[in-house]
Amino acid sequence: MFSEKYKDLYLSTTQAKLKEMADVLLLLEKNPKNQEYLKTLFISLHAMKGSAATMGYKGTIVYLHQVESVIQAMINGTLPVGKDNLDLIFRACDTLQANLQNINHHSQELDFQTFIAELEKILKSPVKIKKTDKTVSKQEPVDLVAPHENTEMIVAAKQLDKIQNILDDLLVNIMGIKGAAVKSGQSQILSSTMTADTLANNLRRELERMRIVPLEQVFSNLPYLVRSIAHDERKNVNLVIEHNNISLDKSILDELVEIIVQLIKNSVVHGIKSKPSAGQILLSANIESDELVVTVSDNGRGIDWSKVLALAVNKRVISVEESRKIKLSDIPSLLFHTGMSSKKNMDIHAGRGVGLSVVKDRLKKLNGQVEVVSALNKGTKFILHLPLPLSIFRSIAWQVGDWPMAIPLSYVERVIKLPEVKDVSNDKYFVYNKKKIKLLNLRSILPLDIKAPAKYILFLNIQKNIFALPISSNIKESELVMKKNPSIMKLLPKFRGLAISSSGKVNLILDINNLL
Amino acid sequence: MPNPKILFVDDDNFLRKVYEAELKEKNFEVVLASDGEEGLEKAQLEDPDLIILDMIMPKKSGFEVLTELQRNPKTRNIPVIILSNLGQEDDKKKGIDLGAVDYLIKDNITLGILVDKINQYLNSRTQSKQAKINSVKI
Repeated sequence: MFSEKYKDLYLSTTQAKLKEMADVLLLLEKNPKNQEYLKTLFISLHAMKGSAATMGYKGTIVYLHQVESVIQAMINGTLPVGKDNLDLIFRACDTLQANLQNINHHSQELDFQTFIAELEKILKSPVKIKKTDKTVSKQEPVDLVAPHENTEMIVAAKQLDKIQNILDDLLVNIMGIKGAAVKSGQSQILSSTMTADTLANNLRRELERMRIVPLEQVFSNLPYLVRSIAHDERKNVNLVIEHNNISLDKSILDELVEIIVQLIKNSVVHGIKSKPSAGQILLSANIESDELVVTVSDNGRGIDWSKVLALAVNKRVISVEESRKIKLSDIPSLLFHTGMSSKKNMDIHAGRGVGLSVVKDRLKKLNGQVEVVSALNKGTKFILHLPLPLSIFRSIAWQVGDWPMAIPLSYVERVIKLPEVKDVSNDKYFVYNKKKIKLLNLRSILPLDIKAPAKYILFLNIQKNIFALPISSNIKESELVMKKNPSIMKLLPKFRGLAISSSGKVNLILDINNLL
Repeated sequence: MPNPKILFVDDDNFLRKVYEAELKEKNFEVVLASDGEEGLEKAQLEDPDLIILDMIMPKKSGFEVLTELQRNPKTRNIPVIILSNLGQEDDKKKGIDLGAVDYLIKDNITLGILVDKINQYLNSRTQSKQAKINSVKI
């Protein structure tokens, strides 16, 4: 009856209930005798039915009722809590998930007819199980206590984005005022400005805190996913998660989890062997200096690089000539090429023929990188490196012609002033303390030919390698506010973004990855 | 006259939010509780004009809540409308026997019907209060 008005609320709350249901199902699978789990499932379904009814989703109600009946039959002991029947309920979760997608995108329920028929068949099947002694399992009682949500409310992420954008603009303006206040020399203006600045920054921190979600929460769906793919692949897979209590901005996590899902699918389908002993996938996340490092590793059959190379030639991703000259270290990147889909990969899970190229695309959005380490018959490890998001950060700023540039201070290992200006634009290396350090050149990302001689050299630490960046203007250290998604950045895709200084000056932030 | 106060007791997050918003729009004051125990507590503290009560809930079921409401002289006279998924005649009978004024099933209730019912029972309550006062006067 309230269809459109409460759609978002319905989707998010039902999503949470479905998640709960899948979690309990996994527990039930491990302890099939635990009646409490069955009761919890029943209550979840019951609640979902109430929501669907309020929204007027008639088909959903009938379907949920049918699933409820299956659970009821299990509680009554007329239907065994065996693998087949549990699979059926797992599939019901998938169907309900698909239903949410449909409602989300088409404002319409699924056609449940075939699904309902499937459940009816089970309910009517004359299978009777022997009533074994009904000892109610005492282990792990399920906590039926409803979470105290009275003090919480659900806010759409879009809403937070809006506030964030306004706040960013506000911060930029305050920075401008700050600059002017300092110049004016009037202490009253200055102190008020400083207070406004502190308040705005507190607001920003609070807002950032609201956007932060624990990895644990996002990862908690993965065991269910792994189980479902492994089941389809007739494999036995154990997923181990090490989230290390990391929390991150939700917008980043959403992208990240898509990447991880793709890698995990890939591992289950291609990596893990079809053996009775369980294969293992380890997912771990760590923060290292200013980046998030996520690894997905399996103990499967490993990647045969010669086969990858052969496939790349076969698919004309590279020529035969190129394949002869290719460096060993360059082969892994072939895996992520769009042209590398093989028919064999075109299965429903890891496949769609695009698996790993999707990883590459999504990583690009996050300015991240991926490494692959693999040994035949030992396993494969994908290592993701993601820069942590910037908001306010200290930086080194300078000019290139008319272009104001900046780089986060966290990348800068050291700054040296050259004893005398020196043109290094044609050099490959800068020699310092008898060490050859690779020189970076802004020519690759700026539509300018930089001829000016260098005054300074910045040593940058990029993934534990040191690079030298020549600078021909004066430099200064300053605090910048990152501007989120300014539209102009579409024209400058090779930069990480725009940031604004206290004098109101706009700086282009270098994207380190594009310099290498 | 102040807006009538409705206590809405349901463990479902979604339903609480939807009904809170919709009832507020219809000029009711709304108090929420997310389980049976909290429902009982709020019934005493908030002295609502009417209670809408779910049946299957954690901590205390709707039936238990009803029983305790009836036992307490302070809450005995608050009309309770049951809003449940349980559609069996037995459940319905049990609810009414325990003192609920009405038994509505979530699957086929619309907000319009619910608001009509709320007004109906609120009116009859004021009338019976009025009648009591009158009888005292006589």
